[in-house]
Amino acid sequence: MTDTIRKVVIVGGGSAGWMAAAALSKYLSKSDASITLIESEQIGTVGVGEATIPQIAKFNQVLGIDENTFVRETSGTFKLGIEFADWGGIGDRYFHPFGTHGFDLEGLSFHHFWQRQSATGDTTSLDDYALNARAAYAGKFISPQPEHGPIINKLAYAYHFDATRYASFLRKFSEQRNVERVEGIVASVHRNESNGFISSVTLENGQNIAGDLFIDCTGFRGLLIDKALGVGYQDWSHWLPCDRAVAVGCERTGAAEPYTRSTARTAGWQWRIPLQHRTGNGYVYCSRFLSAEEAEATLLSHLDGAPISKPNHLRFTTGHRHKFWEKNCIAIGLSAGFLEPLESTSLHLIQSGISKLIALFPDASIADIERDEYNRLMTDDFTHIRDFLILHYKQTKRDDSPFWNYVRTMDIPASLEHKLSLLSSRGRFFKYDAELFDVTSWIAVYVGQGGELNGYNPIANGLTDSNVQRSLANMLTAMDKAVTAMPTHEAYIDRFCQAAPVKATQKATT
Amino acid sequence: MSYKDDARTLLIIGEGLNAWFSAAILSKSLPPSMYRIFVHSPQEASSLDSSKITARPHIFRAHSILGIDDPMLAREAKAKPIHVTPVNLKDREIFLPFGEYGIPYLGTAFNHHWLKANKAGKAGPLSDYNLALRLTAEGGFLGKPMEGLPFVDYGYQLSRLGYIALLKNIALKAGVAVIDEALDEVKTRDYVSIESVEFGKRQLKPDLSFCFGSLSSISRETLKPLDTCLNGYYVDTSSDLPGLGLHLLQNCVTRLLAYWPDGAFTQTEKSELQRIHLAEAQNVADMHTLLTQSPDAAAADSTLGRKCHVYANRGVIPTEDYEIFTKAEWLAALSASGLVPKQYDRIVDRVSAEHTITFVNQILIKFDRLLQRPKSQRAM
Repeated sequence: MTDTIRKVVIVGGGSAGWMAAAALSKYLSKSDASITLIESEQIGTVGVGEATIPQIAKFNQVLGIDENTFVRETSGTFKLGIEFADWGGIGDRYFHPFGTHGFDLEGLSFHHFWQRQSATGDTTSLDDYALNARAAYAGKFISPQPEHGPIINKLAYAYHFDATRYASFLRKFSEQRNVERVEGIVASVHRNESNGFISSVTLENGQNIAGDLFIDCTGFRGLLIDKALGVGYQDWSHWLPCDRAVAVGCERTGAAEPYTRSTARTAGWQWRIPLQHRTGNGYVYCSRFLSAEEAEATLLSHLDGAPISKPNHLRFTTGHRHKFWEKNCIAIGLSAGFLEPLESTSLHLIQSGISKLIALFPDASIADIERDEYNRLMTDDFTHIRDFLILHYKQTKRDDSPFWNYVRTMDIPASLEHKLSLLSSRGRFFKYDAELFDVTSWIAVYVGQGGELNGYNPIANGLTDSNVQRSLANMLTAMDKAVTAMPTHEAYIDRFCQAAPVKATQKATT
Repeated sequence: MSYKDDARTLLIIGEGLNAWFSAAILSKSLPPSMYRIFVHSPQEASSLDSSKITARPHIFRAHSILGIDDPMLAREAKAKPIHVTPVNLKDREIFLPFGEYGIPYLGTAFNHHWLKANKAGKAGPLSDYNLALRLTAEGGFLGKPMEGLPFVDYGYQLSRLGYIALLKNIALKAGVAVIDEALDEVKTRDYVSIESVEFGKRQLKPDLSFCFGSLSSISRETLKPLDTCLNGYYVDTSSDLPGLGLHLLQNCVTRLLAYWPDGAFTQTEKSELQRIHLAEAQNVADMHTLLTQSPDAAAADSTLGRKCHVYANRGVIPTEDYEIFTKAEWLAALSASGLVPKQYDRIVDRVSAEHTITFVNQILIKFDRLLQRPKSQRAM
């Protein structure tokens, strides 16, 4: 093949840049293509995505990264789900678990039987039937192995980690696989006059770097995909109005919990992500309803421990580029789009972009079909996640602030409207091919925030009352035993993946 | 069968296979004392020919509900296991295999490795690397997984009459009742709900009414209330591709169970059932178009066109929502239509051309070894 891509240029480091470099260095390892990554230490990274979802394990697995090494090197902890506090109403709390609620019976999803049982006055919550929630609240964790049996093997998990350390970890990985790192700031982007492709970038020091394929990991700026190629932006801020965040690390107090906490505030929400050496915190808010000063003050007054860095303020517009791939440039990470990290999807969207790029990796001529397919698939990814995020805001009883009044009463996309009417009609749910979140996630958030299922599948009436009661009680007993048998999260980390001690004042990222 | 006082009445209308398959599944899945099921099958048994029907591996899920196993199927429906769906076209026969091509390697589908070896002139026809196709060509059968070999699934060729009789027997034993009289009229209450169905002098007041498949002996106009009323549902699951009508029917009936109403469907539930069915039917129609029309005509279709284009450029087969076929089946069909990818996945180049050729040829050697064994020594 004479027209293969010979040089890939990644502009920007951070999680997106180094994840792309690591994956492509593995993918192109035996070909004659070279990979160059341009980044500058003068430009800080946003470093969002300290919390992840279980799919990240697959990415690490493909790269051949050992889990314990990875957790140790990134000062990581394990994550069993997200606790949402004050979302449905002030004082409410629910858990969005990885894995499932209970066990299906008679070919029907568990939630139909839970709903049937609830109708008898049983107040056992959905969370009680989630192994992940029970383990999380008990501070327990184990990486399931086949010999642990069928119950523990239902435990699904992801990680919390220091995104800056993750980038460093992947940088080391990539450089060992011949990725060339160039220190510098891009001053100008040059395009081929005949086809509009990006031909090279020139750095401030005058160095010109040419390439066949450019990956834009320049963050919100979108230096290549937008500034140079002008693809425009699909703005979703009318549905997801938060447009600012302020982040700060704080000292850890007590053991690191194996879950993320998301607490709704008057004009947004606050995250809390426990790492081995610190706790990551941030307040995502809407600037129409809250000033930066108020947000910072709120955040600082709700930390577990003393702050260890200066609060870092960020601006963003929720949405995505009209095209993720244009000409010979692919935007990955924040340059592609932004969805607030409410469900920890930032790194997943990077991973998803990279895996789709690899599946559709072009030759130098770059056919429209590859671009179109990539753009279609990424648009689907963003849209499905968008709807799930909007659910968190729309499905609330909160009326204590203008922000909550706005999101509670706003119009929502027709696709979400359709999904909600199915959910409210006896908990009906069907998953689309490209949809990330499944029935457990939708039911957890919908019910957790006070949504009514309005009945259950009548086929659930096929079991007698005593059968249902006994089955559900057995599930609780089995889960209790499984959680009892697990080590504490802290003990597990100490034994298998404890990070080297770090100074508490080390600069933190969001 | 004793029913609860508030037991609901279900009416199933359909010809032969459609009616009895759905009646059998519903009667075995619904709480028995809560539903009285009636079947009206206007063109049953006597008007059916003695042809064979194809059941794809997907049917195992239904058979596990129905308690049907292989010996029973062989005895009652003269079942013959098959590893492919045979599709007879005007000028040729195409086989859609129930097993993967080769073995994935380096995290990449086999067809990319084959493509590289083929470009070097060192690979045989792609179909030689599909064990399901090889077994079919040589009259073999592999009933269980064998270590080191790709998994080959199987479906059946069934006697239509025998299979229908088996399903009918299961349904009748589960308490399903038959209505023999001709269907005259479906009466509605202001076109909102079905109030009664008239069969000659007999009248039934069903809580829910279903019709599956196409019907030739009942006018569409008569059945229209099943479309318009929320306590009725009519879906045409017919297909010209062997086994696909049954596959679509099975999906519709099992999906119906997931959406089982308490009284009547909501408009949203009914439209969701229809939306998913149409997506599946489109998928089947795409396969039919690909197999029966020129590649150019196939490429003009939007979802199928995307499949053709992406495959032709990269050897990758995109999937859609509610995909019916496996990638191996699409690969067989795309290859049969003459499409050859311009480029294979570059991950294949992580090993040398010699390595790839050796890997690809080893697959053939493994298959040859298996096929040279006497049939009695293969896992059955």
